[in-house]
Amino acid sequence: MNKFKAYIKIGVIDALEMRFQLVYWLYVNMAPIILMAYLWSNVYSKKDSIGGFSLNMMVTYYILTRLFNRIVSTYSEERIAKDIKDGQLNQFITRPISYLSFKFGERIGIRIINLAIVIPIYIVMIFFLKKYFIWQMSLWNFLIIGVNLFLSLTSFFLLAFIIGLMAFYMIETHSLNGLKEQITGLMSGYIFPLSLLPPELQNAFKYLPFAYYYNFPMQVYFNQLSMHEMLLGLAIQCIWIVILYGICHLMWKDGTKNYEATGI
Amino acid sequence: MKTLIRYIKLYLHFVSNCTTRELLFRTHLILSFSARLMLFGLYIMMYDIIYKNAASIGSLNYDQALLYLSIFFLVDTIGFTFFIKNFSTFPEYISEGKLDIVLTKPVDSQFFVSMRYFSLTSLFSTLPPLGLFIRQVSRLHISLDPYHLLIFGLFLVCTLIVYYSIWFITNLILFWVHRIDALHEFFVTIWRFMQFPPDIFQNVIRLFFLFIVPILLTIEVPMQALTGSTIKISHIFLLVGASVLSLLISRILWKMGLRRYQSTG
Amino acid sequence: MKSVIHLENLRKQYSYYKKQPGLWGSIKGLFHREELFVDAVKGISFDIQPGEFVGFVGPNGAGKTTTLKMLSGILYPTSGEVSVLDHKPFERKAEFQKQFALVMGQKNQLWWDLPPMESFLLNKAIYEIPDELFKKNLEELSELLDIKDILNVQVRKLSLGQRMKCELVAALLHSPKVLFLDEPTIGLDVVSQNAIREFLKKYNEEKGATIILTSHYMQDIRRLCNRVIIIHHGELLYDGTYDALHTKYSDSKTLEFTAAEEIPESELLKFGTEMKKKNNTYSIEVPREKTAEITGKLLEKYTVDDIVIHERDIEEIIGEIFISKKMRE
Repeated sequence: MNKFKAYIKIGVIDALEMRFQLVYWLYVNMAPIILMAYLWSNVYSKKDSIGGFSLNMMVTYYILTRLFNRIVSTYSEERIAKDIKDGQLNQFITRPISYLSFKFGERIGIRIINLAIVIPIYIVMIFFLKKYFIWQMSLWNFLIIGVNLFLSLTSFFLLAFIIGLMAFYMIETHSLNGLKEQITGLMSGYIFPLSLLPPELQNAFKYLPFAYYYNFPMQVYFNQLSMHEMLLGLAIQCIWIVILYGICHLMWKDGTKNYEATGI
Repeated sequence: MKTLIRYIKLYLHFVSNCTTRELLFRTHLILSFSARLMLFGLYIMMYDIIYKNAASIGSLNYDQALLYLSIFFLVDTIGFTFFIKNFSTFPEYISEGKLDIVLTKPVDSQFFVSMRYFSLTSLFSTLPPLGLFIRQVSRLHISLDPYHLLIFGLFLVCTLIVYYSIWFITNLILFWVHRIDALHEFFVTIWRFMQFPPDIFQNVIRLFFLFIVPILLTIEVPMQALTGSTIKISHIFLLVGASVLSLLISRILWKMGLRRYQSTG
Repeated sequence: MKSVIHLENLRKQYSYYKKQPGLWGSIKGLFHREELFVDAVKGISFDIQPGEFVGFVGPNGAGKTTTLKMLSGILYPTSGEVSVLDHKPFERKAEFQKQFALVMGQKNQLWWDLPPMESFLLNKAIYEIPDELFKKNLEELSELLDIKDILNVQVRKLSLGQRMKCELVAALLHSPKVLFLDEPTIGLDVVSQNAIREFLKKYNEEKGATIILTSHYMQDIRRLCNRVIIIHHGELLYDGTYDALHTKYSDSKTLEFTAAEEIPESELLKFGTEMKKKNNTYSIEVPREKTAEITGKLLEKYTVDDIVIHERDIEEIIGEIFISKKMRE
C-alpha cells in the first residue's frame, strides 16, 4: 500500500513538472466539446428536438461523455506492444508476476492522477457552459454510473490489452488501434448519441460492449432506463468482461509460447 | 530553378523510399485505410442524421453540406499524406536529438523535417472523399470549366500552405517546452473545427479563426470558387494573406528554434 | 600549412530549469522556475592540420560531443571562434556540408525497415553525388568493410557491427574531407571493433581525410590517433601526441593473480611495485616493457591459478592528469 502511495505521489509531481502539458490537456479536453456546442446550437436554432434530444441534453451529453472517456479510456495498447517488441516481457515471463494485473494496476494509478487534473478542468467547463448543462443526479443513478464506469474501465483495458498483444503477431499495431478507436467511436455513442441512429442498429449495439462506455451511463443519467434495463446493462457488461478476459488469457498463452525476446 | 528541380527530385526520392517501406506492411496499410474510411463514414452519418431530422448546419443544404465535408476531408487527407508522418516525428527530432544528422546535410532543414516522410496510406485515404466530391459536384450540377477548376486549385494550394504552416508552427513549441505528449494533435484538434461549415461560428470565435489561427476560410473560399458563387474580395485577401504570412512566420520561428536547439537525448 | 579546423576560445552554455524537490516544490514550479546555466565547453582552442587523425578523449559529460556538434554545425557556439574548412559550421552552408560527415555510434541514419542500399541511394540524392563517383565509392567502401553481401538485407536484420559498417559507408559516400566520429565502436564486439579500426586507419592513410574520433576505448585511440586531445569539465587538459601521453602516464601495467601458496611481500616487491594483497589474490605494478618477462617468472616460481594483465584505463589517466594540473595551479 505504501508503494502505491509513493507511486501516486511521484505521478503527481511528474504531472506538475509538466505545466505546459497541463494547459495542453485543458485545451485538448475542451476544444472538441466547444466545437460540438457550437455545431449543435447552430443546428438547434431551427429545431427544438432531434432524436429525443434537446440542445441542453446534447451539450450535457458531450461534456459528460468526454469526462467518462477520461475515466475509462486507456492508452495501454502502445505500451504493451512496445514491451513485447523491445523484449521487456522477459522479466514478466521469468518472474511470478502477472503481466495483466501489473498493467492494470499501473493504469489505475495513472488514471487517478489524471482524474485529479481532469476533474477541475471539467468543473471549469461546466461553469462556462452552465446555461446548457443539465444537472440531474440521484444517489441511485450515481451508484449505477459508478459501477458502470468501473466495469467500463475494466473492459476498455482488456480490449486494449488484446490489441497490445497483437504485437505478438504483427509489427505495426497502431493501425489496428486506430480502427478500434473508430469502431468504438461509433458504437459507444462517443461521436453522437446512439438514439440518433436507426432503431435496428441501436438494438444490435446493445449486445456489444461498446455502448456501455458512454451511451449507457448517459441514459442512466437522463433517467431514460428502468431498473430492469439498468441491471440488465450491467450484467451484459460483466459477461463481456469474462469473454474479453478469456481472449486475453488465450492470446497470452499462445503468444508467450512463441515469444522470441528479440529486444534491440 | 535548378534548386527547385533538385528539391523535386529529392522529394520523389523520399516518396519512393517511403512507399517501398510502407508496401512491406500490407496489413497495416489496409487497417489504416479502413480506420480513415470509417472516420469519414462517421461524419457523413452525422451530417445525415442532422439533415434527416429536417435541421441544417448554417445556410447550406444537404448536398452543399456534403460537398463541404468532402473538400474538408480531401484537404485533410492530402495534408496527412504529406505531413502526418513528419510532424509526428517532431518529438524525436527536437526532444530526442534526431535533428542532429539532419542539420549536417546539405539540404534545407525545414524542407527535410517537413517532407522527409510520405504516407502512402493517407494517399489511399484521399479516395473516399474524392469519390464523395465527384458525386456532389454532379448532384449539384456544377459545371467544371477549366477556369473555375484552376481558381479552385489555386485556393486549395493556399489552404494547404496555411494547413502546413500552422501545423508546423505548433510543433515548434517543442524547442521551448521540452516535452508535451502527442503535440501533433494540437493542430489536428484546431483543424477539426473546420469540419463543419464555418457559419456556425459567430463573434469572437469567428474573429479568432479569421485572424489568430486563420483557418476559417480554408474550405469555404475554394468551395465558393468551385460552385461559382460570389466570393468576397476581402476573403480572397484574407486567405492568400494568411498563406503567405503563416509560411513566413513558420520560416522565422524555425530559424529561431534552431538557435535554441540543444541537441539532447 | 593551413589548418583545417580552427577553434579559439570556444564556449557553449546550456540552459535548464532548476527543479525543486518534493510536492511543494513542484507546485511552486508551476508559477515560477529558475533558469540555470551550465557551461558544457569552457573556452577551448586548438588547430588541426589536414590529414591528422585526432583522438578526442574525456569522461562522460566532459564536452566532447558538444564540441563535435559545434564543429558540425548542429549547435551554435555561445561565444568564441570556430571554423572548419574555412566555413563557420553554424551557417550550415550546403557547400560546407558536402565536405564533411558526422557519424554517431548512438544515433543512426539508416532506415530500419529497408536495406542499407536504399539509404545509400538517398544520400546520393541528398549529397548530389555523381553516378560515377557513387559507384566507385560504394564499390570501394563495401569491399573494404566487407559488406557486399548485406547491401540488400533489411537493416533490422543486421548485427550491430554490420549496421555500424553501413553507417560508415553512408557517411563516406560523398568523399568527405573531414570526418567526425562520435563513439563509432560503442557496444560492438571485439571483432567488429577491430574491423572498423583497421578500416579507419586505412581510410585516413589512403584518402588523407582529417578525422576526429571520440571513444571510450583506449584501444581505439592508441591504434589510430597520432594526436590526442583530452577534455575534462569542458576544459582542455592535454593536447599532444599519444606516445608522449603514454610514456608519461601509462608506462606500467597491473598484474593480478591468484596463487595457491602464501607469498611474502618482500618476495613480490622484487618483481614490481605497489603490491596489494587480498586473500590469495595479489596485484603488482610492473613496467610495461617487462610485462611478459615478469609474467613468465611468476608462473615459473609459484603455483598460479589465474593471472590477468590490466591496462591502465583512460579514466584513470585523465584523473591523474587532472589532479596534477590542479596541484600545479
